[in-house]
Amino acid sequence: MILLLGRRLLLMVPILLVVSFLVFGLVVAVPGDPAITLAGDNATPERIAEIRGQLGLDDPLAQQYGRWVGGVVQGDLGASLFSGRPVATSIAERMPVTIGLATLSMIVALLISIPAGIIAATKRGRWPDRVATFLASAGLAMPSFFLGLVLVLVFSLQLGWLPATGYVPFEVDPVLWLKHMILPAITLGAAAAAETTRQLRSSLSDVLQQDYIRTARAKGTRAGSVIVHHALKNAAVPVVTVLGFQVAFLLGGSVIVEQIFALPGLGGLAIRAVIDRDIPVIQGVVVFAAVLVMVVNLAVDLLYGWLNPKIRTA
Amino acid sequence: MTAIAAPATLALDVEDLSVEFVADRRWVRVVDGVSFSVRRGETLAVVGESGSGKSVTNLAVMGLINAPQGRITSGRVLLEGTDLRALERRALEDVRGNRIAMVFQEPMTSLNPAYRVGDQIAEVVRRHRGVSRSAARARAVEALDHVGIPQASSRARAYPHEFSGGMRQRVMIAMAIACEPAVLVADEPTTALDVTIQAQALDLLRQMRDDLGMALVFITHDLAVVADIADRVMVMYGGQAVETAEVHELFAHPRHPYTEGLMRSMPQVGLRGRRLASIPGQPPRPTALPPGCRFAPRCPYALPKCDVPPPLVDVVPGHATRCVRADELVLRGPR
Repeated sequence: MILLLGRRLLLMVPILLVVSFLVFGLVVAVPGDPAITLAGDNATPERIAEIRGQLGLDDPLAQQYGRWVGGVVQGDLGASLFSGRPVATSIAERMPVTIGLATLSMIVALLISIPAGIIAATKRGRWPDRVATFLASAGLAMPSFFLGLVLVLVFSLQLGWLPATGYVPFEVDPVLWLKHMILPAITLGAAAAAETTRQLRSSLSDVLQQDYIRTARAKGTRAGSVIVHHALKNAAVPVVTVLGFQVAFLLGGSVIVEQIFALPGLGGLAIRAVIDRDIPVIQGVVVFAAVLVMVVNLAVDLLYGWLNPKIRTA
Repeated sequence: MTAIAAPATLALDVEDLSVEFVADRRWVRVVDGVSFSVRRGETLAVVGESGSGKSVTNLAVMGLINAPQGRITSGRVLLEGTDLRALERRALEDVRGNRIAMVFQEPMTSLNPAYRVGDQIAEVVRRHRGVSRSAARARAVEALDHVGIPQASSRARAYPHEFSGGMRQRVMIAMAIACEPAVLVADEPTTALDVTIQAQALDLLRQMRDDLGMALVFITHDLAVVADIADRVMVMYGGQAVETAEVHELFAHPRHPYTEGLMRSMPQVGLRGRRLASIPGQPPRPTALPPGCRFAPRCPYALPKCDVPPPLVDVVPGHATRCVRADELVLRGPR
């Protein structure tokens, strides 16, 4: 298991390198000059050149890249071109919102998809399966901005149960935090729930055909335990893969959902930065997201080892 | 015959069992009125080609026929006097693995790859004996040791993929005998094993039967194995029992043309180099059974009177056959 961990960590190094090239490449590839943007309207060429000098934009690319990577490795993501605040600080402030939203969405997705997938797989071809499959397709087809607005319309405006927008930090009031997060989490988690349900349905119905399930039943194992204990662990491998992908999608989707519900998360920061061409902030958010996705993938790999003993020794 | 004197009561008594499956959107009978019984310490071999209904019969005995694809339409399954068909699902689960257990054909796929073998055996002990986790583990090691797995206590912590096929089948047997059942059903337990391992597995099953005084139902397509392990034999064809007899009687005086065909297609020492006899044609599909005797289309002795379904009748006490010409034919055993 330790060996597996070490090997996976080593594999992350080249991926991080590629990510850093791509992120740094933003500076080169994005049209427009941040110095011009920063200098404002009616700036003199001298003023622009001066800013370029301050930002080090005239140095050779390799030198700029080296400077940037050196900073990133030490946790210094640079400073916003506009506010001058360290990017790392901005990310650290907003990270709990996005991570909280993503985690809660994942929980929502699992709470929906595990029972739904089990029901669909065990009642395959009968009406509970059809209902679950239909809802899964609907969940996948429904864009999050639409679902979010429908939820707000019903639960906030009509029923008045939950706030439509806003955010309360968890450490201030956990109950209020949950009240503000539940609709965004459902909005964001619906697609993940649908995809996971479909995956679980297919892998579980596959596993239920296996000989060792018949063995478990022949042992007198309770019907429920056959599914939860014997089938689910084996069916989980492809599902965990999908869940790993889902985390990346959740991070992407959170940009939209945070806007709908006015949550002060990374999504808002990223959008603002893109509009302002605030390159260091964009770079920071992308690096952060990339590292997060890689950590999740690492967790997925370790889960594989637990789920499938063959991988551990391989 | 066996070391333990067989008690008078039957361990397993199956009567008129019929099973149907869905095929082409209708119910098709794949097991048709099969009856058999077996005592403690005794081995009954159920013999037939694939598709003869021998496995389905025993899955039905175990209550492992799944709705909605399959159903038992008639019959009684008495396990030491308990009618298994009358039991609720949960009560049946209490019996399975406890008083009647099963070993399957494919040791490579019949163990759960995600759990240690010791835990898989301990599970059945905990389930039926309600003992502590550690006591169940200890019993699992004991069972592994009993079936001849070396270093049982450390091997109990290994996963199925760390065992060879023969060793996995031993694990399956250990799991089946962990609760000392009255009846052990072994469905082609040696078919998937190397020839050199087959004899060991047979010896092991025989030893377990004698050690625990179990009734053994041994399903196979291999008559050579039957001669080796069985006390009595039921030959199945097209979902029906076509002949039942004590094993020596069956080999000496087969009374059904299908049994004769099976015996004559056995490889024999001393007849090397000669072509093996084979039964022409294919076993009937359950969706297209012949109207009369189901073997008639392949039978070298078939007559027009074979177009009427023949009953299973005793030709001599303890020897029954489903052939209307049983009295007039002189059939031969293995060449």
